[in-house]
Amino acid sequence: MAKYLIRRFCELVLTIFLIASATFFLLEAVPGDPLSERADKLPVQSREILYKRYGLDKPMMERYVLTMTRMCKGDFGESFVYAGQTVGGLIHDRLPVSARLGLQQMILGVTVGLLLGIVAATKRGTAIDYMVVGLSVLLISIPHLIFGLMLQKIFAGTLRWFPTIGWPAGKDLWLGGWEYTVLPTLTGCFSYIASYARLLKTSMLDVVNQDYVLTAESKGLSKGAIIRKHILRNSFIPVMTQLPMSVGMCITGSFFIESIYSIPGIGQYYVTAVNNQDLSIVLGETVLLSLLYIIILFITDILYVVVDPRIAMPGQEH
Amino acid sequence: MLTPDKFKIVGYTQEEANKIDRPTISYWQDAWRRLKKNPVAMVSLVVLCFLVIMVIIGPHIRGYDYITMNVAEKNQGSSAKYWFGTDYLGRDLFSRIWVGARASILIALVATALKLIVGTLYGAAMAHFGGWVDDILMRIIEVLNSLPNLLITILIMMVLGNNMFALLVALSITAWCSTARQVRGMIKQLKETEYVYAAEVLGAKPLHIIIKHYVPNMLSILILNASTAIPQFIFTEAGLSFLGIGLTAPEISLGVLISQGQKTLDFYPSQLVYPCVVLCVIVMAFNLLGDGLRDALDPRLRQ
Amino acid sequence: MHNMKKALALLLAGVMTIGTLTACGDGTTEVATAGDAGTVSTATGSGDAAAAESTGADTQVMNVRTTAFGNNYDVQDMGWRWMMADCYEGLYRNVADSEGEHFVLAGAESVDVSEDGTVYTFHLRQNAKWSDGQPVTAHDYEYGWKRLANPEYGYSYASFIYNVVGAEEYNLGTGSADDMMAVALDDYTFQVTLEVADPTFEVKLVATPLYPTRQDIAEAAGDQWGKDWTLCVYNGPFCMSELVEDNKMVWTKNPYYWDAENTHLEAINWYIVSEDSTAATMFDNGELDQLQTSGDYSIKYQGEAEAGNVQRLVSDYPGTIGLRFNFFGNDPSGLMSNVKIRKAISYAIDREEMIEAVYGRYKAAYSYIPPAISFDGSSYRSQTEEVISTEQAEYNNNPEKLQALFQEGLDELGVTTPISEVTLTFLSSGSTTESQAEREYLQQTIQQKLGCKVELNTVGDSSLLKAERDAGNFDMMYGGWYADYNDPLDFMYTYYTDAYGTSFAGYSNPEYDALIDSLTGETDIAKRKEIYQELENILLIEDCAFAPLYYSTKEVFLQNWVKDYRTSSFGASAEFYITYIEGRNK
Repeated sequence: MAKYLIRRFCELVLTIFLIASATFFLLEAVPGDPLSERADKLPVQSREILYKRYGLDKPMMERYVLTMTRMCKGDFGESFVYAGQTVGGLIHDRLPVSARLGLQQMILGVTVGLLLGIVAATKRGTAIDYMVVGLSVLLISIPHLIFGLMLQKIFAGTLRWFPTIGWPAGKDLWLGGWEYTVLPTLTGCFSYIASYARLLKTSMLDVVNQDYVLTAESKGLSKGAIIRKHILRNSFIPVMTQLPMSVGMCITGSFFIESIYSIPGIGQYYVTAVNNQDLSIVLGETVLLSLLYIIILFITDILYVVVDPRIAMPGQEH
Repeated sequence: MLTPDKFKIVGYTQEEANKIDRPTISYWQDAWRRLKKNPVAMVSLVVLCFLVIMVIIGPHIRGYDYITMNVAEKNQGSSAKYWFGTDYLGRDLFSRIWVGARASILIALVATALKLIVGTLYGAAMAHFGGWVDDILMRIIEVLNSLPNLLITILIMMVLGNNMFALLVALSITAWCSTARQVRGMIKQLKETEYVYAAEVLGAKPLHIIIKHYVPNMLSILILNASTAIPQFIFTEAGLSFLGIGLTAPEISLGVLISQGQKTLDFYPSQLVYPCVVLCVIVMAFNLLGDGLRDALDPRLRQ
Repeated sequence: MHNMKKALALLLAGVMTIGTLTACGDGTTEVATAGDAGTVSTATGSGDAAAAESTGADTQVMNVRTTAFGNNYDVQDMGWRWMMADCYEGLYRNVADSEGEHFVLAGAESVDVSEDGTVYTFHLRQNAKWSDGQPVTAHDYEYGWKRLANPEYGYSYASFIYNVVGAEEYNLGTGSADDMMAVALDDYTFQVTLEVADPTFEVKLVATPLYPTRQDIAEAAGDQWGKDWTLCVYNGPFCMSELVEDNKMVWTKNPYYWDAENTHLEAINWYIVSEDSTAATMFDNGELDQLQTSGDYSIKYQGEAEAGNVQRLVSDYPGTIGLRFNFFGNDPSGLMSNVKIRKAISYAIDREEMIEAVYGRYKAAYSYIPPAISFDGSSYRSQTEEVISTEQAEYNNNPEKLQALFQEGLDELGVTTPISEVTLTFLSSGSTTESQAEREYLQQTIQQKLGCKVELNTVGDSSLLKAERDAGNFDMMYGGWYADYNDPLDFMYTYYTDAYGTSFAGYSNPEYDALIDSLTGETDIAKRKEIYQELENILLIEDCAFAPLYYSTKEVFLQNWVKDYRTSSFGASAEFYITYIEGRNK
């Protein structure tokens, strides 16, 4: 076990290093630099000072080594574009906001999606089944931006049930200010509903034809009992595989939602940073998100062993 | 009382004894047969055929150029002259939608082909070489998967510029990873199966094994893969249009039309609704056909 | 008159220097909370307006839309003109009223100018205070000006004061701060000595880089100066009291402001609202008191304004947008060196139609210097004719004539390719409806009128645009200029050889440069005007280096209960100094 953990840890470090390097060189490949906008209006001498101040006067490889060395010490540096903003501030101020938004969307979306999936699978081939399929296609076909704006127009504009923009802050950061979160959560949950409904339906249909289900049927178990005891339990394995991916992605997935509802999260910030070639922020955020994703994957691997006795602990002898 | 003399030999041959009366039904024939029995899938297929015809002839039906502007007639609603109205520069939306749909479908098809080809080759390489090659290739996939998609997409579009080629690269750069994983798993699993083992023992050549056993097994996976990937790519492309990355004028896709329509939603909703409906129909048809194919191709559902 | 707000802004800006870190904190946080008292919860959203509404009497709180916050609180950096000017104050304040844009005294109570026009002595207002209660002194101005020229900081606007004796040398590293002749004679007398008399010097004083800065506070903040707003002190009518990035910013009244009794608003809430659709919803609901929007929304509210449901303020804004041609000599078509080709392209565009079709606002432009620029007390454009309108009218919507002109250009270059096979590359950026429409419109209209092909080179953002521009991957590009100070020189100087590096696509004309040089020290107004006319003529007629398309305007919609709101072009873009709310709850 300890050996396995050490191996996983080494892999993680290597992956993160590769990711950081890939991000660095990808950003370098983009024409222009983060200071060009500001430098455009400067006399030549001042341009030199500006580039020197941000260390951009050095050759690429030297900057790469410097960046990586500082990164190892946990220092990503300061934003080139937004004076004074750092990755630490981002984790402190923006991450919780995006995390709450993402988790709320996911919890609501996955729950509804799974319920719809069960309904569709048990009523397979009926009108209800097709309604669920049709609904889920419809929900994912309409872009977030349009959904968000329409919900906003109707529920915040015409009906005035909810605030138009904003997000809880301060002591309400995690629990509270719910009225602000309703519309953004709704906007974002649709894609989860759609994908989880389809996922569970598919995997339930796979399980239905397994021998142990046939056995259970021939034993005379009631339909409800079969669904509960055999089908559901087994068809949740693909859902379990998908869930951590969703958790990993839910944080960045809300770009448009953040923009429509003026939510100070990291999705919007990330896109802006990439567009500005703001290396320190992009690098920091990429590493952060990748780290989160890898750790979640790791936890899932462990969870598998707990949930499904057929899977051996990775690294253990079979 | 039955006695042997009451019977008469009408003649038979060894050959006839082994003859099977019903025609042999291959896996693919069987799948097609079952697909035909699925009305929803067949309707989707018909709709798709119709759409394919429309994206070819649609832009010519009304005889309007989809590029040439006519600002005197901008932002009109549906009329006998312009069935779907006109856009912000007075161009016929009906023609534009079919041109856009053509681009969307083409992009999705090419991206899917890229995904399948790259994924299959990569996955096969992983499974074939195994060992440290497998490890390294897997690490690459892991890195690609852990990088936020948005980052890769935006950066690629920034480096390569806004054009069709860049868009295809951006769409497929990470998409092939899942295919590669599936193919790798499939081949590793097949290697261990009894029938492949039996074939090897019987002295079948590797090529024979690949054609007879690997390909059919993988084809069904790949077809399913394609049927989910196509609508996925259509969406993703549409999503990118909202970020202002993707095709540049005069090229248009459904995504471009939808993102343009969104901006005038409060005033000219038809500019959003029409392309959205077309997008939904395309995506739904692909999805339902995919569901039907899944049922038809799943050997375990074969009865 | 809408520009008055700018003037106010400047006034405010002067106040900014520093105070202690806590300046705004202990001085005004209470006020901030009071202003917010009626509001709901700790949410960073937009409930405040609604809450304020329910309290009965007019709450002096204004809710305003913006699409992005600035990124810098350092006045010398001018990163953020609209904010700076309302929270800080300089020597002068820019005012826009029925007489156009002009300046009034703000931090200075009077000024003496030496006879030769090189020595300015400013007598400061003695009751001006920072938001921590400290007086605003001439030393704060001296520090601010010397900080601006300090080469260590590399401020973009340092060249604004190159005419001050010793400033250029200091900024370029060959002189020292002590030799720079911007000095405090005593606590309330600030004296500036210029190298040569300069009629444009005074209009620059409204710009935030020339505002005072408190040495004790800026130095205490060190690296964090300008980055961490909580370290700032303010000398304008308002100070910043809350900030949630990408969401909301709150300003509250500065009780120490010398004219605080005429400042009515207790708080101003700025909201980031990125979608026009959302902003419209909020404006309709009364959640926003002020709105700037575009496209169809602008047209919608123009109608509402005519019906009297909202107020509309429109003013000229000092910006001219058009096409720049590639003078680097590496243009993809190889045709841009010919003036007839450039003219044919320029004249192929029907400005009036374009404005109607694409923007639904703005004014058609036929010159480089826009109407918002004043000269000798009135709009420069009202004193002189539009430069290219006569010539353009001959060609407007006349494809044969345009193509003949284009063909002449081809012949002069010895190019035998038929027009129909010529391809021009058009560089632009942006993904808004307007930017899409404008580039498609231009592509189409040039293709239709000239019969050549136009290819679009479209990039996502401005740093990519600059990279493409510097690489010369264009024949013409979308671009323009927004003024930094209120004088025609600001516009004309942009095409001085290498004045802004590669920004103006490599245009260089020794005759043009010589004319600009001849303006140095020229104090005769009539003579200056003559030179400006000549310059514009060279630029647009003789060389056709730029094809002006439209003059910018600024359009603001206000609820009927907002009174005395101003905008200005050179100070704060939103001037709340004397604004008040009346009748919101009716």
